Amino acid sequence: MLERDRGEVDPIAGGQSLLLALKARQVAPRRLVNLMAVPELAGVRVADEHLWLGPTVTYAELVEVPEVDPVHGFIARVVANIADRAVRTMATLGGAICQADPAFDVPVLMTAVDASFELSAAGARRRVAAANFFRGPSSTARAPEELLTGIFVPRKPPDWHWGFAKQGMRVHDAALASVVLGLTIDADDLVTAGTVVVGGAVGSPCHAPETERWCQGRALDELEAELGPRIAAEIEPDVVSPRFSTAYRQRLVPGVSRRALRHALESRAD
Amino acid sequence: MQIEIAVNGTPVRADVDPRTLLLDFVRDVAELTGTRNGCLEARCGCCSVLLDGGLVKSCNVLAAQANGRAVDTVEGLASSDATSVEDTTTEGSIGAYRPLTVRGVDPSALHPLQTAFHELGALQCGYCTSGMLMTLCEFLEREPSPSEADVREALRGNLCRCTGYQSIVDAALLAAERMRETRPVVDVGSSVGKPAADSGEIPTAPPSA
Repeated sequence: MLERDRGEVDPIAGGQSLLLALKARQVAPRRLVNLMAVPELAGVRVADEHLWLGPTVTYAELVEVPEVDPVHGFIARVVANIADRAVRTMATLGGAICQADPAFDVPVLMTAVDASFELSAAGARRRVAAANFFRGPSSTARAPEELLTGIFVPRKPPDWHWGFAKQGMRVHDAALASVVLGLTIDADDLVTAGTVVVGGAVGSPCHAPETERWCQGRALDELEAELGPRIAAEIEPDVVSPRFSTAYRQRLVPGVSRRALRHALESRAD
Repeated sequence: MQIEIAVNGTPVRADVDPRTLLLDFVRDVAELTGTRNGCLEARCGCCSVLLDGGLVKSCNVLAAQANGRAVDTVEGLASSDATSVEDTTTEGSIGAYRPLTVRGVDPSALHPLQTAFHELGALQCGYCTSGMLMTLCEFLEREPSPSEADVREALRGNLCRCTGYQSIVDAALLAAERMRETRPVVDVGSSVGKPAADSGEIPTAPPSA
């Protein structure tokens, strides 16, 4: 149907972004297809190497099952803090992924945990890594005739400690800047590996590879002092909005990074 | 399009424009105007209702998305024995606190949240109140023993421009306390109060690759 009626039919899942766009007359689809009525797109399934998530799984559902989280509760912790309860009841993972709004938490989260997405069209199916899926604000590798039909999150080793922080204008606003941090730390409190992904300030989530390399072998107090400025220096904010300049977003990154580090170290204490 | 939604347990069937919001269905079709139209941007929470028991902002849900499902609104909180609002609100009572009993309302017919809101004056203009009540109703079902911080977190999606929130938080905690006292004690060995075998689980689907 998406292929046959291209441009006239839009899928709707929870509709939390789409309804806002409809009411603002920003989009005008002639027909909507309700994906929530498709059982094959729902649910979660645990496998040895990964967790399969149906794209219509809502945030509220995901929060209820932290025990199946392949990143040891981190995904549920992040999702539990998105918007408010009423939005989480309806909003779906697949919706946030396909919306690809830089301010959303899900794209930066999926990129950091190395998720991949299955895209299906009539007679064709392919899998795209999150790192290659997001291509800028509201732009993805999904073709108009394709549907997101599965989300694969690989199981992470339990010795990784994960932290997430964001800064929005108001408490339940989407992020002007966000950071996901993943660390392994040895018995001498030295970092052995690090993952750093920035969202919000950039059009699509991006790693900070130089900072990731710098992290290796560093003591935690070095990270506390230098991590934020290094991430801010490495990324180039390119999200332009009338109220918030790229320079302002860049200035937010050090503080957000420090909070993400604190979050990661708290998870270590747990 | 033809849709049918069970509003407070009563099936409401109508032929509506596909663009109709659940908020408009509740107010204009079901004619239950306790649910407020506040911001229409899913921010203020005035329009909060329960959809199959889950909290939603009805201004950001299409009525078609609720087709065949159950919606609970603020009108469904009190039992049908409670005296209607028209009978309890008079010109003479404006600005003066009057116990529910003086107004001819049986407090036991109200939801504990409604009673607590009334007793503690947890409203001023009242526009946000129905949304606050529905949000807290869903929250206290999930979390019977919340802290003050928990209540404030639960109310993050509901805006009140009059009260400063403190009296609303106090009322929520008072209602929670009373609801705990009246909650039936469940015999662990019996099946009463236990969830159904599949309840709370996300339905699984076969992996598609």
